[in-house]
Amino acid sequence: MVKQVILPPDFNEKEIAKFIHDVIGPDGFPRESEILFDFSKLRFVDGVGLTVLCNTIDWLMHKKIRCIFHIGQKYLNDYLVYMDDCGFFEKYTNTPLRPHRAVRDTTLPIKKIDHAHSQAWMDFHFTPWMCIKLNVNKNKLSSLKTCINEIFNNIKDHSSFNEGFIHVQHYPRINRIDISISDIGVGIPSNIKRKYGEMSDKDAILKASQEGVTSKSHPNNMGIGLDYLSVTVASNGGRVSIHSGYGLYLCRPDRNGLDRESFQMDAMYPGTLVDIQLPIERFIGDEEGEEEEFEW
Amino acid sequence: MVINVLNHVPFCFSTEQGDTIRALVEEKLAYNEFVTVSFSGVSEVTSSFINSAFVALLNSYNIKFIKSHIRFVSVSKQVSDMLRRCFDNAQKEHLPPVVA
Repeated sequence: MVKQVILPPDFNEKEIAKFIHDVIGPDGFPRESEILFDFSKLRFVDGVGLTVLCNTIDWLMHKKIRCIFHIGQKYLNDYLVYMDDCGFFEKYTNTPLRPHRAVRDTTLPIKKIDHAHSQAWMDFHFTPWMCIKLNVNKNKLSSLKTCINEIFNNIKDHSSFNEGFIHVQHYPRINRIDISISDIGVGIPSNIKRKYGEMSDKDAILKASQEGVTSKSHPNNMGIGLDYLSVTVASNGGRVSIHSGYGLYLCRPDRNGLDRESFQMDAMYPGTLVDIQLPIERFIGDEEGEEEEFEW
Repeated sequence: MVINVLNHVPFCFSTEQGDTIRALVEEKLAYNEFVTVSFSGVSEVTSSFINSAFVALLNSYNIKFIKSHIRFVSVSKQVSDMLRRCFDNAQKEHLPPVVA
């Protein structure tokens, strides 16, 4: 049987739950052995939507599910062209929709990166691109880069896979950069529950964000990563959202420091999705200074 | 004895890279020698690296011994913050039991 999944007209973070619900049944398995993705209604897709779509297709392919694309548009609209420019169609069908697709300078296009190659990608692609967009030198990016490195370490240590998708998008009209990273591992709630016992995914994902809480998937893990991510992004005026299993975690800056909350979702996200939104005008970055001796 | 981390690992990123540095430090600590670890040229480190390279030493040595035998030099602000964060966090875990 073929399950038809109509991509929503506006494929953004708000549509993730419904999209996932269409693809994955309540038992956590794909709804059919073949999934047809129908692009005919798609009018808008952002970086998160694109990352979720790639991650889901990867998850389906890993489960030997056949994926079919139905474009259904005689003339390609701007967002299919955008996806084509990001390399989406070439990645999955080996053929771009247009012969002369080109990556835009507002995009670091979606890429699946394994742990071993993530550092090289960070140094040779992410860092120079971000320096230009934020108009800062690379020393200002140390903490932000560390956040992303921590996520790649989490993918390696906590998930059953060693690779994740990353997509970075600059939105000039709203002066913001969004960084979306996703993997298809077992997810944060499942790891936390294994260590701390049964609880809702909502509680598990909130617990995981606190400093010192770790699933101990690796003996030397001390539970720094998600707290570090939350603090670093919020101190730069940004927002973090994490979808994993049935849990959604949101962290934003507020007058008292950080506003962290979590929600129980109706649909299970297959793996973990981290989305970082950075308003460019509020980006401060790291303090610059001479290298010094560490004082205990 | 000075260990310049970039002479031994390309990045301060992974648990495995941390393990490499810890092995070098442990070689010296085993003979009660003092170690200076230089982060010259390193702009950022992850918690996985710090935990694996240095915090894991708490399994063999107490914090007083570590503080008196290891110096960290040429550390950037981010490296310094991460060292402090990881050791503070680990010491909460290694607090001795309280007899009531």
